[in-house]
Amino acid sequence: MLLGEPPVLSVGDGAEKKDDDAARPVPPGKVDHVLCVEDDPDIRALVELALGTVGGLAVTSCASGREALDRVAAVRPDVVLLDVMMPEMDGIETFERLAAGSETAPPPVIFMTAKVQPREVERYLSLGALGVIAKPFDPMTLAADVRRLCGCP
Amino acid sequence: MRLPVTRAPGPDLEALRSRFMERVRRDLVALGEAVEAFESGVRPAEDVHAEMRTILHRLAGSAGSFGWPEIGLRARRFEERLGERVEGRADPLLTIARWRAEIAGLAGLLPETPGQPRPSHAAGG
Repeated sequence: MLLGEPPVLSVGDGAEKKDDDAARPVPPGKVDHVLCVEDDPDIRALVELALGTVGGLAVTSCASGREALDRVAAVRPDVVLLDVMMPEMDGIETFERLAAGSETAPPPVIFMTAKVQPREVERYLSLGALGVIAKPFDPMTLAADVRRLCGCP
Repeated sequence: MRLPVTRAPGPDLEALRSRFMERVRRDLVALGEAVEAFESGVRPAEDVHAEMRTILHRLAGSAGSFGWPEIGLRARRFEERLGERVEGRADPLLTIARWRAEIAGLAGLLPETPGQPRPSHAAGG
């Protein structure tokens, strides 16, 4: 493997779904275009490389939750890859505003975060996230993780 | 069905890694300055802790993705120990000297040439 063995956790592909968990979204089944919301420019660039160059996906990046809210309607992503710890508007608030601000069904959201204690992951999923990818992520498998969480065959 | 067009990251990734490593070096300088500010009392302790935790959390969550998992793990441990002190579960050993030792330990994991992995990190190509 190119970059050593960073621990990668991706959850939410259905294995953990409970019958009474009504908030969980249905995976879109396809992903061509990802909206990445990440305040760290180095991570943003790496995500673009991992999803775009390595993974063959179209990627639009936003540096803040506010920018994502402003652009999501025009971008119309298949999925949003959303950082949790961001200044001013964190990922949780961005997620809630994305859901509240959509006249149509909001795009599914995958949280990408270093905050992956079990109770934190449970919270993301109970809010309605499609899944969680742990930081540090593996750039060589990030696109595959996103596709898997989106239910792509 | 349209198959995705993919290619190996190659030079693009190496450029990102070099840029990231330069930032890590700046982060370590900032951590050292924060410790100095804490020691001299010129900034409130809460501010210093918050800055250090932000830097360490970012390092912990990113270094592994750029190919330096040991830096990420060490930053994570430092962040957790710093958090214990902030939250009142103080480790008596976690003094200013200890913080400096932690920063020095992180610095010891950096490659000597920016952007170049240490030999132990290069395994696996």
